[in-house]
Amino acid sequence: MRTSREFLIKNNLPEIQPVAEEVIGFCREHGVGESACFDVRLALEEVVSNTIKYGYKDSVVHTIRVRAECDAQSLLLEVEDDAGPFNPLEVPTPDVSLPAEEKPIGGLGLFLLRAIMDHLEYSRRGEKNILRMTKIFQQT
Amino acid sequence: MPLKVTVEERGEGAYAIHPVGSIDSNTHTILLAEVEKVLKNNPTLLIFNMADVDYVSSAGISVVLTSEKSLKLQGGTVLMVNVQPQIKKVFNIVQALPPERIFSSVQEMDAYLKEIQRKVKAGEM
Repeated sequence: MRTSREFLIKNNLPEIQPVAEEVIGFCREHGVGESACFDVRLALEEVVSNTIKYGYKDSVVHTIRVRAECDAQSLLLEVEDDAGPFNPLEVPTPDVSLPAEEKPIGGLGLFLLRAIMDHLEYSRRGEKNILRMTKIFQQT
Repeated sequence: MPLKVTVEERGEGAYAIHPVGSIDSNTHTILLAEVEKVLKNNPTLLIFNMADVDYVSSAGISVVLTSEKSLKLQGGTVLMVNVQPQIKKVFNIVQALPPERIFSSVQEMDAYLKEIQRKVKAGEM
């Protein structure tokens, strides 16, 4: 049975980890395996940390909404924020094959996101960025 | 859980760095601070012992990559040992280190180091 749960994260990096644990707990309730849970945690962190670090120009507290929807076949993770318009899918892919001295340090988070999630979709609704990420997995 | 990092000097410019916990966007600065202290000593070999690391994000990878860039400039080497499969997967995706320098066990790493020493002695490197 597909169920959904919502989580809220304030724009403060230490807030990510406790919420990520709750999201993983929700995944485990659906029998999601540890490898997929790792990927979900990583995807969530990469997206939300990016928003927190670069999305806000003020010192106001902002709330990032995370909705997780899960069943035996897949997980949908939807992250909604009120940061400035930003489509992470338009960020150029870094060339990770470059030797160490030329390899970029920035951009690896979004590169990982593309590698570990099966489908990514961005939209802008009003003043909100919405990123939908899907992970397809085998039930354990 | 806050990240804990211990550093052990192994002599002849070799250092072992042992983080314990998760290396994420919040905790990676703890690891970076310890790495930067070690880098000031111009190490020739840096070994990240990942036995007690259960999670790493791009922020953690960036610390290892910073180490790699720094050591490569001075002809040194970065190795990672006791790497759990999901951590290894992440490092391989971004190609942060050549796969031959990421080891699942100390035994594997020691065999690699012995082979390097043999090649150096034989003039092959």
